[in-house]
Amino acid sequence: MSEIVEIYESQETLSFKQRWNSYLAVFAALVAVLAGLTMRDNALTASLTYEDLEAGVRAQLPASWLLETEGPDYIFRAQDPAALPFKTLLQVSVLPVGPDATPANVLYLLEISRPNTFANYHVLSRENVTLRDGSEAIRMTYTYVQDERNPFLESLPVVVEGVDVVVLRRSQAVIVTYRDEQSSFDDNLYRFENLLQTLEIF
Amino acid sequence: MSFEPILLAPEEELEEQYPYRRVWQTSWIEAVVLLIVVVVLVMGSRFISAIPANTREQLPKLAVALLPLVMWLLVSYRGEQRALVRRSGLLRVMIVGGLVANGILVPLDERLFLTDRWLAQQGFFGRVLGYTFTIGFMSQFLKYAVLRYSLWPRRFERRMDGVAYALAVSLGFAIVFNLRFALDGDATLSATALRVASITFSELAIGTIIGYLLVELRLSDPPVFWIPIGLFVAALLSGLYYAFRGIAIVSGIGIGATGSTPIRGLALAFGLLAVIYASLGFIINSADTRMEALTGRRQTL
Repeated sequence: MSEIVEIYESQETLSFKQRWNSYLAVFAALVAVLAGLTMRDNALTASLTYEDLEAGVRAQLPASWLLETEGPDYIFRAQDPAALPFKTLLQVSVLPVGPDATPANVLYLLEISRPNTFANYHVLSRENVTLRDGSEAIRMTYTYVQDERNPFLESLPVVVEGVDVVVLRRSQAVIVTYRDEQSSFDDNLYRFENLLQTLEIF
Repeated sequence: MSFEPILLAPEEELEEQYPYRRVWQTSWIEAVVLLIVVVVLVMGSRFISAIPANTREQLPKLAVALLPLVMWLLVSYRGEQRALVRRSGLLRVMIVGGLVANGILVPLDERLFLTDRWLAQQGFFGRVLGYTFTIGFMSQFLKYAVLRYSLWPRRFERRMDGVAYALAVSLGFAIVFNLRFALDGDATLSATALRVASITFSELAIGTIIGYLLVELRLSDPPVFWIPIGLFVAALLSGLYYAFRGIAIVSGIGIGATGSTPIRGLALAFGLLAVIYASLGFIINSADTRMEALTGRRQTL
């Protein structure tokens, strides 16, 4: 009767320190990932408070963005200086309106005026929304093409996607705007939602 | 009667043949050849118009991206096959390293850490810490995991085994990054060559630390936090490299300035490689000398 002899490669047992080094390495990796994600969140969502008592506006804006407050047609405009090829934009502007105006009237006004300044301007959608404080507003998404005027820069046209939220406050319409290059529009949309969540008009 | 002296030939001393591949030597050859090719490609194009440094064709960029792999196969891998005692599994861990980099590290960066959206805008210390705790640590941990759960501890019998296997897995990582840069981007051939060399040098340099950590864990009796601390040090080094590279490649303001000086980035990467290779070589040699004094057995020559 033949006997089967099985030969295995000798298994080297690990020492206490070797085993605990392995466990702690995995633990350290988890801690590093958590720390990295915290740093990422802090960097991406770092904000500063913008307040204009004269215009009656307070909002949280991305900390590293360029802020303009001297424009003729807006209260403030924040742009991401690092964004290419189009600087991501958040803007709050105010239009004086009559007592019978509705947010839809304001949007019609924008629709009429914008094709004069934006090439290939198209409205993609309109929808009624309710803001955080319960007020009714209209949200409009649109797109246009931005050309570089300087021919020596030889750059391609940029397709820009934008969204406006129009809400009435007493005798003025507040227009909250977000624009970005269409491929990164969705990625940065949360910044616009953050602005809407934190925007106070008083 | 004449007397002719009988000349006795001195007894020939047989030199003991070193049975293993000399890891530092082969790795230096690969690094220097890659450096020379890149410098010729970048600087030579100014004098020799036949060098298509500004082409954006995929094929030449692909060739440059794969050059470190070809060099490794010709020098290190072939050297290993010719050695009396071979280290087996080198090709396997190199391929697994590439797969892990492409399948885990790259998706983690693009979908979770999102470093391209926030890291470049940070200040110096923000970059160092941000890179250390995201891509830096994860990259080193994955290299460690590939080695730890494939060949360790059976194949880590000598200190240079750790370096040899770590170089192989790091090369797998570097090849994936090189290919992604060469094929996904719109860079010129010279820019691709500079980036390929920088990626390869930094990956190889910092990867060797992981090999050293693992081999010491196998041969010595380090404390229980040896690997975690070592991983952190390696990650911190990669973070520092990332931050200093950002400084190095930005040129000063001047009439001839073009906005960036990538050749300084290449010099930084090669400097990192030289410093880490020299430091680890010294540390490993000292450890072997100590071991020889204690046990009478020497590991590396």
